[in-house]
Amino acid sequence: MQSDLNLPVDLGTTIMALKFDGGLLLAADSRTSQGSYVSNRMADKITPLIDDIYVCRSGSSADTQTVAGYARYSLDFHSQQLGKRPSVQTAAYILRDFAYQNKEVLSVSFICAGLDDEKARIFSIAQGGAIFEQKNYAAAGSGSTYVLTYLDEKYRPNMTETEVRELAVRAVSLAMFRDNSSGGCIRLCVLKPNTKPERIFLQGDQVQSMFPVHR
Amino acid sequence: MDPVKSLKGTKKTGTTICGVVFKGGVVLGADSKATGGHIVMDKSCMKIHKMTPSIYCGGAGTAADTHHVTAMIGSQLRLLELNTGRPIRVETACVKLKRHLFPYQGHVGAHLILGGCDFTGPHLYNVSNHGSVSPEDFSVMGSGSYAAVGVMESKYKPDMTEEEAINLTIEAITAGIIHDEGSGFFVNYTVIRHIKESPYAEVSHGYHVSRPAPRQKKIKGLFTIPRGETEIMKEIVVDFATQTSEITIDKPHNTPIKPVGYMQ
Repeated sequence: MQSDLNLPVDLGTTIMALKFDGGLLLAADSRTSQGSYVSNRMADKITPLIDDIYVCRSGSSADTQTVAGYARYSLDFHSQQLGKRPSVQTAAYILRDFAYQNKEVLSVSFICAGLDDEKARIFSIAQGGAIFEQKNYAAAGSGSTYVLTYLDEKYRPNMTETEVRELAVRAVSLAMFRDNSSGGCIRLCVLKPNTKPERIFLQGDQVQSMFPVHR
Repeated sequence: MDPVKSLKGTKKTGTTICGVVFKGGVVLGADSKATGGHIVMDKSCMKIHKMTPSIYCGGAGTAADTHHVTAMIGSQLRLLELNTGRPIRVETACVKLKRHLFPYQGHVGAHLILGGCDFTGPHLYNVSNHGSVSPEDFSVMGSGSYAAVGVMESKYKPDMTEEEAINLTIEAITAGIIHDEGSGFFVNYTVIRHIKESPYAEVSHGYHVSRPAPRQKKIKGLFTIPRGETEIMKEIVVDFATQTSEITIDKPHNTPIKPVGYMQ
């Protein structure tokens, strides 16, 4: 495989967002790679935009950081003019517009998720700038292909926070096992109404290893 | 990743640079070889550049790019310092670097490890030539990073003392110097200590000349096999004059092979 430190830093990734009864959970792995070299094994792919609105980034590290930074600035400015915090939909569409207008040069895909008052909303922005609002959960990145059916099978609406957390950790662990570009640790972000966002970092034994022990 | 595409554009010159955060500061280290193709241009090149009195930057990649980007952003930071009347935060330097590098889409070959102290404490950032930034506790970059990262990963621990951090830096860079042809000569290091009052940083420089472990003497004569020891399983004699061939030795395949020479 190509090993060249001149290659762009790539977030081959597993990211996901899941609604539960009383809020929203975001989950991501922590690997960024340059070709086959892992340049950062503890990256943080869950970035805050404004207040309760977060974005999970996947694609080129430089591109996604720049677009998310631009969206953060744009939302801040917009919130000053609006007089209140903008909706999750606004945030997602700002990201989408930037990704779509510059699709020739950018390699980005996002999951923009947050709480509008009590209501959780999840938007998935694909490469090229297509946007979809997801009803209950979304997964993106190279590792998501391995776990989408797992989530389809195991997810039920109105799960508790503990159940959904176990599901997300299990799903990201499975994706990390099968996808070369995902790995490292698991980062979680729990969003609940009227509560400060909770950031959780799972490493080592807390990441469910898929290697069989008794065979 | 398209292998042809990566051959075009700026060539990576050999370097090993690293940074480590310890309890109360950050250490940046670098080797001192600068190459132009296969020729060594400078044997005692300084790859750790000063941006502000409290922020230093190790640069790998194209030497001209790292030097000029650091100097350019350093001067912008100096103006900001004068305008605001307070020392610059490391994060500010970071953001300015990435905003400069991103529009060039990776063609400015500056791969940087940014380290420094501000009122919030010691910081270390990895800035890639494409404009992505990541905060780290320890970092290696350059062609020698493949060798240095193994040393770093196995010996790093959180909250080290200054002396431990300096030793770790020297070991990591030495690994790069020994195992990477693009890195060489001696190790330069810069220690940036966090202090409570403005300008929040105390800087000291040092260098270290590594003596690689002595090479083991090669043991001669271990693998000599006398002539005639190898067992011939099959021999066919061909007479070109008469166009005939004769099988003179033909041992079956399951004949156990007699151990030879050193194999006994």
